[in-house]
Amino acid sequence: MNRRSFIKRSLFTLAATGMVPSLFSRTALAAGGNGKILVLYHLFGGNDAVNTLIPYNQPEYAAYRPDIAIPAANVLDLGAPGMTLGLHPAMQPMVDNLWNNGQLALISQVGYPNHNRSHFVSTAIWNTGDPERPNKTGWLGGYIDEQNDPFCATNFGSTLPRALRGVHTSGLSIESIGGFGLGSSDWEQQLQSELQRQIQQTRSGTAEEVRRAMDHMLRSVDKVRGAQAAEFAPATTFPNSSYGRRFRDIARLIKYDFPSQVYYASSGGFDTHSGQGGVQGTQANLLAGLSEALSAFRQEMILQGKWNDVMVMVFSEFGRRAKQNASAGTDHGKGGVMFVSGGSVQGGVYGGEPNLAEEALDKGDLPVKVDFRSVYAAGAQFIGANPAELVGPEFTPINLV
Amino acid sequence: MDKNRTLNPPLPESSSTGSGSAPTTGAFPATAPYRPSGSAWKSALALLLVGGTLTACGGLGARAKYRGPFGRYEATHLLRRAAARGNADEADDLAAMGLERAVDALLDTPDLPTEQEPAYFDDANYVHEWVNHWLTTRTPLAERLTLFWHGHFTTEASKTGAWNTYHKINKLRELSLSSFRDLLYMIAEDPAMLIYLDNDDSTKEHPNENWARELMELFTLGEGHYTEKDIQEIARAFTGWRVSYEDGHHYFLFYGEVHDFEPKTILGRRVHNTFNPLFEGYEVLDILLAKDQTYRFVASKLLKYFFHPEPTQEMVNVGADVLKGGTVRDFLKWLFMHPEFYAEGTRNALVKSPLEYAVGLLYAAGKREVPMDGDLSYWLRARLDQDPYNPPDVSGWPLANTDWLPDASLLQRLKFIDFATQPPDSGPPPGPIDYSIFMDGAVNPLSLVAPEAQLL
Repeated sequence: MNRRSFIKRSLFTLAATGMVPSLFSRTALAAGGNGKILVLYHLFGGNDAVNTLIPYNQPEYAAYRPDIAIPAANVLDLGAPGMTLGLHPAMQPMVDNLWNNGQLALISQVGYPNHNRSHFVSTAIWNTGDPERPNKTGWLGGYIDEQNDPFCATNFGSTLPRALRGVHTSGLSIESIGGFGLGSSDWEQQLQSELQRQIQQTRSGTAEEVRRAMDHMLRSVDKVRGAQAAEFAPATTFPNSSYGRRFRDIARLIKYDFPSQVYYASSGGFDTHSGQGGVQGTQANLLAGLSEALSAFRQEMILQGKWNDVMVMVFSEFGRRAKQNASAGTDHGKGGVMFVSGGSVQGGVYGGEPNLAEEALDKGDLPVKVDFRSVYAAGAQFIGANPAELVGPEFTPINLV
Repeated sequence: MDKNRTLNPPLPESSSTGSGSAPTTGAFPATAPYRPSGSAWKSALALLLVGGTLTACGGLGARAKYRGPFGRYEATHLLRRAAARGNADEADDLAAMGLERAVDALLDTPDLPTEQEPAYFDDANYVHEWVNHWLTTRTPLAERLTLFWHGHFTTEASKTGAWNTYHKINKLRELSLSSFRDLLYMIAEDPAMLIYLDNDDSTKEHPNENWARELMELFTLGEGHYTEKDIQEIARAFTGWRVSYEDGHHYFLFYGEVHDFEPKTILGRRVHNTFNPLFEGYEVLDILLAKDQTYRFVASKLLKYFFHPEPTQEMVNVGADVLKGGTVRDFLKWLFMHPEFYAEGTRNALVKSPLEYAVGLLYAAGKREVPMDGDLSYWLRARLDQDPYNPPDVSGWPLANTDWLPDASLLQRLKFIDFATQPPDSGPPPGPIDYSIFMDGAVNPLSLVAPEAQLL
């Protein structure tokens, strides 16, 4: 039996024994309505944790990475008690605005047991919260099903991430606010009314799935139309980068009181097998883009008076090997680093300073010391969802707030 | 373990240059690009097809044939699936041929466009070239199939350079109907792939595992059928498989000095060839090509792309047998003549990818080249969410299912109707305006807002 059919069978068994309904029962989740917002940002490709949160004082660090190690003089030391850790120099804005205000939690050596080194499998695991059976629904799927409102979670991008897929309901997915809608030309008006007519008629099979997708889309268009109409001229300048545009759009919907409690976005480029760079270069540019955008987002949230109600979680599907490869890059590893920020987040380093000594590594990778689901649990708790229902009762929320 | 056993390496067509060199000196010239299927394969296929019928049960066996009516209705379904474009006249022509001849006609040897040099693309658009070919070729099935292989053996132009990916697509088209072995041998030596998955940077001191991992996870066995150790060993076996750059082109070249000459163990088989170390890579491919799982994995993907989003295990198993013993052409002929292919639940069960949607709609609107007054490649990349030269990641695109339809791209598909169906500025379009293959029952652009327009 292949894994997929096993998954299907397991789901079927669950459904047949009546366990599925209880999973999504209204009383169990009791989420929503507390006005808090969780922003999830995926760095796709596997961000190199060792050059992000850098144990620069350990002799192995420079020895492992002759071409890409960040010189100690350039590392932004965090002054974390008992640890000699610093951030990549490209993250200066994040240090100035988030860390120095005590609002940046760095989750070191984060991951899950028996780490999978495939981008896709590992992303599926992060998005489903289930390393054993990454199936079709996301870790927030239960929350979205419970809310029964596709606007309770919004993704920016053209592909809906699995994290926002529920059994009955899925989150909204829009590429950008500005481009989302049907215009007022005769043709588009005609098209809309014909579409309204078509989706009244239920179908079967794939056609029915498409009909539902169209219905979902039309309702989304209606909803976003409101946000488009509302003026948005923030005092904050968002950088003109993919990160900047994503965070700007999220800030815009928050300003409009859009009903989402969860926002999701992602950016790629972190799969630095070759030419990763050091103080400058590929990874530096990516981290700088993220830091600038996140700093602008914080400023805008402060202006909107929402910063205390927001938690931003930045994650990547895995970290990379402790040692560089022959291409001045790094290959897929295990333990990674997460950033969590927000006005009510308790800054600090969670998960400890990584030990680069050969014997402390897990086959050449940073070991996993913190399960990402205990971080997710803190996010679930923040928005008033029940963490035990979303990620499992064994994961106690990390005390981030 | 049998220590002395190594697999017989396949003999390259022109191996005269490399085999005599001492393994540790100099670069080995490229050998064995790929081998077109010869008659030996055909007899092996014949044997396997016989074997297949013995083990298959009931009506789903390798020899199960559709014996129902084959008129315009059935031919429309076949044409839409095979080619993702067409009109009623073409469906009628297929119907008049009868099922088998119609299938043979669709599976005819791919029509190959002239390969252009990089300078040509200073003034031309790679994506438009492909779309124009798809709109005019007499073998449109080869285009839909090439898109499948390009999604399977993914490369991204942003990393490989556009011309290298273009060249890879051209080779995939040429071999699209050949054996899976031919395709895998070609892709292992393909410069775009060597660059894309970093094998070009791999050395014995620092083997790069990117190619080794995806070779098993995405190209042959699928996740869960190998260990991390197998990945590391395969990476070592492929050290030295690199590219050289001469006269404006990349070429496959084997560099002995970066090859790891120690023995490797891959999926329980010992691989060690110090006489001609290049052949260790071929041995790895042969080990993977000997696994039934490889054909189950690839057949399952082909079925999701050409048959149904959730093919039964039995269809996968039989299809895997056909694919293992024969060519992709044999596989598609088996599928296109299968009773299940004409079942009502199969018709319109797949979702068009944006490229298929665009090509199908332009063709239905009578267009035979991309519209001049707009940028189709921009539509595809920025609005419909499929840049044909830059798949989203190394796993390629969704396989003809509703993953293609998040709100944002669905909305853009509707907006695209207007762009695609606008009559050209001067006179009527070159082809007939006929939406009936693009969507069952469609009569005009407005009909295309129905969900069925998204389906294949």
